[in-house]
Amino acid sequence: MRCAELAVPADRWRATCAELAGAGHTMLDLLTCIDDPAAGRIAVLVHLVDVPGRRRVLLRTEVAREDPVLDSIVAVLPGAAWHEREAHEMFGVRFAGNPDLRPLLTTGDMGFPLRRTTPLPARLQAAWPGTADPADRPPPAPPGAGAPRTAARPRTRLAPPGVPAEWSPPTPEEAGAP
Amino acid sequence: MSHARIALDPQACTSCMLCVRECPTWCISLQAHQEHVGDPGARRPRTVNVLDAFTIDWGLCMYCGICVEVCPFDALAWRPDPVPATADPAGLRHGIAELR
Repeated sequence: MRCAELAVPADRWRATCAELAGAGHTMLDLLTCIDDPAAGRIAVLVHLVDVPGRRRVLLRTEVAREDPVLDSIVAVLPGAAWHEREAHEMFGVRFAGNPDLRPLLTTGDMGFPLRRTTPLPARLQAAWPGTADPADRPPPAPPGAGAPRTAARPRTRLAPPGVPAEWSPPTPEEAGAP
Repeated sequence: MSHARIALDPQACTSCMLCVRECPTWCISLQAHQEHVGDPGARRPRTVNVLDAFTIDWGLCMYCGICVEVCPFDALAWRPDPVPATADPAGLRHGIAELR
């Protein structure tokens, strides 16, 4: 089934969803967000399917990361209520008109877990195994040789991929054995 | 070929650390040291990495296979028999002997 992709400004979000639902895209498959800290935007996406017509559309809009507010589409597609509740909890997007945006899992003291700038506690508590390097354990110098050369360090910076540099590394106590 | 767990060929492993550094769940750890090979009297004796310990923590592994893909020497490969159940999490940390 081919998927049409459509991007609309945030103020056309609810009206476009209503038009698509009216045109037969009545099955809400997914509503989710993508955080883009570099652009300062959060993309909100909804995937709507027209099952009898074998059509689907991926509708996308963007809201400012600082003050992410978007019209709720619950009045158009009631099934979006739970998805909006989850997106509000995980990304902090406020859906104006959604009557119930209570958190599902979090207690409200850990920020928005799926924003890319939210530290992942597991990544802070554990030491990254990739810092170990065989070159740190060179062979003993052959007899008669002078002072051992210091091991050559790789030129690439050793940092775990996907962990922002500004996340503080664990203290020795935190990284210690349990 | 079923992707039930990952096997290590320690003879093929050069301790290059690529799998450890690419693993998204940080479930692989590797210890190695370097040894001289060849003529010990050469001006610049050649060194090779010698694998001391290699551990996969199956409690963290999500079986994505990135380590298998990045291994330049095919030291890691899928194998079809699943990881046996254990009574405690430490039993899910498999070393070289269990990964063969």
